Amino acid sequence: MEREGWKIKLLIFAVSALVLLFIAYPLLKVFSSCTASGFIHFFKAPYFMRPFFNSCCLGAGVATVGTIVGFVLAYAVERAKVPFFRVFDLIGTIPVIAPPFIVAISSIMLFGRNGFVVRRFLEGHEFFSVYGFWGLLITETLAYFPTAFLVLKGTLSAIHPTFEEASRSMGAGRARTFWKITAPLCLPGILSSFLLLFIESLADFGNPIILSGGYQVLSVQAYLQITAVYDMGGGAVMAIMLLLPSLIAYVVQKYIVGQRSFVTVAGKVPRSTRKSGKTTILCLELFCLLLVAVILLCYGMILIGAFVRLWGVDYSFVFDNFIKGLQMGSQYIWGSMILAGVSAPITGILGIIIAYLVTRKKFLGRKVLEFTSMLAFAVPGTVIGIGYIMAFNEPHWFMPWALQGTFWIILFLFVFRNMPVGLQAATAGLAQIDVTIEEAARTLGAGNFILFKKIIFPLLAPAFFSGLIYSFVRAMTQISAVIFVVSGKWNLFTVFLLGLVENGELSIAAAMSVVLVVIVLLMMGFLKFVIHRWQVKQMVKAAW
Amino acid sequence: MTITKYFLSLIFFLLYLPGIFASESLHLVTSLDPLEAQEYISAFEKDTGIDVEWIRLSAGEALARLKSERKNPSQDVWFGAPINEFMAAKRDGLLVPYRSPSTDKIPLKWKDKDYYYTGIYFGAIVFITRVGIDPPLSWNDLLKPEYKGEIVVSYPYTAGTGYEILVGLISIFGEERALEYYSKLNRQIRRYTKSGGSPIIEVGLGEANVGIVFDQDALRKGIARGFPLNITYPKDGVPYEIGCVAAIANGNKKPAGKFIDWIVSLRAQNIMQKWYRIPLNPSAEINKDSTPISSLNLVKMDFEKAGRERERIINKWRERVGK
Repeated sequence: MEREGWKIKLLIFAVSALVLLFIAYPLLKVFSSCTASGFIHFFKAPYFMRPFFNSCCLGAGVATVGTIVGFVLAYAVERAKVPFFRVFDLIGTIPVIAPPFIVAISSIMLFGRNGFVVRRFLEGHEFFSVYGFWGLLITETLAYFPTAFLVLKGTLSAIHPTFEEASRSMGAGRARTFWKITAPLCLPGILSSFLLLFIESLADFGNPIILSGGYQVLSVQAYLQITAVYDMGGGAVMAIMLLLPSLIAYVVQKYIVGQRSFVTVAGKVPRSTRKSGKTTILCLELFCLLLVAVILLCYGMILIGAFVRLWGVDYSFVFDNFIKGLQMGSQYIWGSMILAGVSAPITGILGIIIAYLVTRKKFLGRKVLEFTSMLAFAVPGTVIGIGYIMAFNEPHWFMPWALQGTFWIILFLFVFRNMPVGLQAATAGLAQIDVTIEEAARTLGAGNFILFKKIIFPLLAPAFFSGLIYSFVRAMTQISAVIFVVSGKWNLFTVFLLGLVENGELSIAAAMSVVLVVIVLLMMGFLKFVIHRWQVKQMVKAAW
Repeated sequence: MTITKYFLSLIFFLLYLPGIFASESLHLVTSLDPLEAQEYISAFEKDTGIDVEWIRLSAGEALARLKSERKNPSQDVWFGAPINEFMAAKRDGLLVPYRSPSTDKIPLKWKDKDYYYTGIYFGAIVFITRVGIDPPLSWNDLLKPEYKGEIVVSYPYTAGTGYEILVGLISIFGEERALEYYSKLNRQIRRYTKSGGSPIIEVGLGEANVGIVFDQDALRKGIARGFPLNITYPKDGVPYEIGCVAAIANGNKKPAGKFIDWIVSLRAQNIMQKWYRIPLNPSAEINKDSTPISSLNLVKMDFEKAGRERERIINKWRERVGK
């Protein structure tokens, strides 16, 4: 490869500087704010240790239940192909686009002491308190099982059916084949889904901020420690303790999976011809229907709650909640839409640029750039938020303005937190594009800009657009990191929703959740439409 | 190659732009509910023509934010939080004195003698009970077995209400006995909430039977909205708050002063009764559902200590109660 021009070098320098400033620096700031005495205080004080243990227990619970639910659903959809499996496949992805605490709100409406289910069917007798371990376990499982579902669907589809065929041919029954062949081969998928759910539950902020009244968890307590006690050092220690279990889980998972070989596929996987047993299919079908019923109940409750005058007292049908909510929250809604709209394209472009640099260019610190870029996605939002508030509170020599309280800090937070997904998509896309195409273009005299515009971008367009959609949705629905950096002028929809729930405006909160989901769906539809138009145009061009 | 240029200029644009638009409007932080705050702010904007950019933070959060932004405050005026928070802020040098003919109307006992902050409304701590449940009448009643696991109260370290309750208990029992009392009360508590008004909702929705809150919140967020609640004033001593307003040090003092003048004026003080607050301007009206100050057995609140030793008191509470 030829030596890079100074302009590319400058670009590498600029991108690295940005990544260091907006990802590495805030995280370092968190680490450097921890002191030995801070850790000692943490381990000695029950009001720090209890939330820590609570978080770990909850994480393990959510990971276990979520993985089981995800596995059964994935098996039903991918292997058993139960009736209506396409519907179940779709249902499994609904929670991904929902705002973080929509399930928390509906679980209060359903399972609260005065909730729909408890009041109607249990005669006011609650078996568990929603505002505690069980409530959190249920809401987080419903919110995060799709991750397990997607991971395990991938794992199951990659297992070569000949192994199962062989087992059956040699006389093993269905159950024996499942336990001896299918389940062990799924182990890596099961472990990584367990790990992902554990991390997601630990990092979850939206559900516990509403439901953890009786069961303190670390992410919320770290937030309170910073914003209410103003103990930055203590908050930083809690942030590190929030990271630690995830790191340990990650190492353990690597160790277990790294020990054995699970490779069954070389090339394309054929369809299995064997059918599951009738009872198995029936059980799976029932399970899927139950799951769908629970999900529909949760989201349906939000829809019903949106039209109720005063949840808990007066259940007459009104439309006021939408009008009131839109009036009260117009500033927040616009804030979110503007920030999401501005950050999404920047996020997408930055993802492609970094992907291009780390895959196509050779330079010192390439691996570090790649790793650091992924970091903002991997650490819990609370940790990033704490880092941002610590790093950008006051002006520095390299940053002449205090970003705290401005539009920019939210924008940067969105860009750098959401960029890794676009980056990964673009890296995967670039790996599929042969370098010879670029070399051919160069031979024909294209400069970097032309190369980017005519070759790289069109080929990476799917990756770019998926990054774009993802970052828009995330920007609309995120709360854990941004809650630290919102201000009077720039506030967000999710923060507004949280305020509504705290003030007991459950009906307005439900109405606004509906509005948020509609905005997200409309925007996704719009982007999909634009992409489609663009692709058609490209095809017409190509045909000419 | 132009892409590099575009990219670099974009970076510089992003880094330097925030300083170019520094607006002249009033930046206000309030600890009142957004809906209520909006009413005063809109009226103020209409009366004075000054544009207000505001944010709602609970009292503790607001104080923390002011501390963290000490050198470069994003706010000019702090409005609608309990007096002890203002005392702490004054001691930390976060406020700047402001005196005007209009603040002189407020009786001396409701404001700072050095004009750092001025009281604008009064609020009393009360028990709320779901209709059909026997209400507790005194602080010791709360320890009765019938209320076990049924009481909801806000954290002293996240909510002004929660801290005011703790301060009230210390003022009634003395510090040691108050903490002893609270660790017994802790066993009765169903859960703590982050914000001071949340217990009303919990009791209103039937999630718990008893809450400890401010009366104006109980009236407005509870009873006026149709939740089936009763209010009782603890007979062995009613803790109370004085809601204040103050200009923030290093903030924009001119619009801040205008706001303070306006909020103690009769026009603004008469809005308060609509929100069940008891205004401190002696000529302002009081809502007929509110209980006048004179008829309450008020605790002798040690606001000075509450503001000065907030951190110590709260840490001690956390050690003892473990929350």
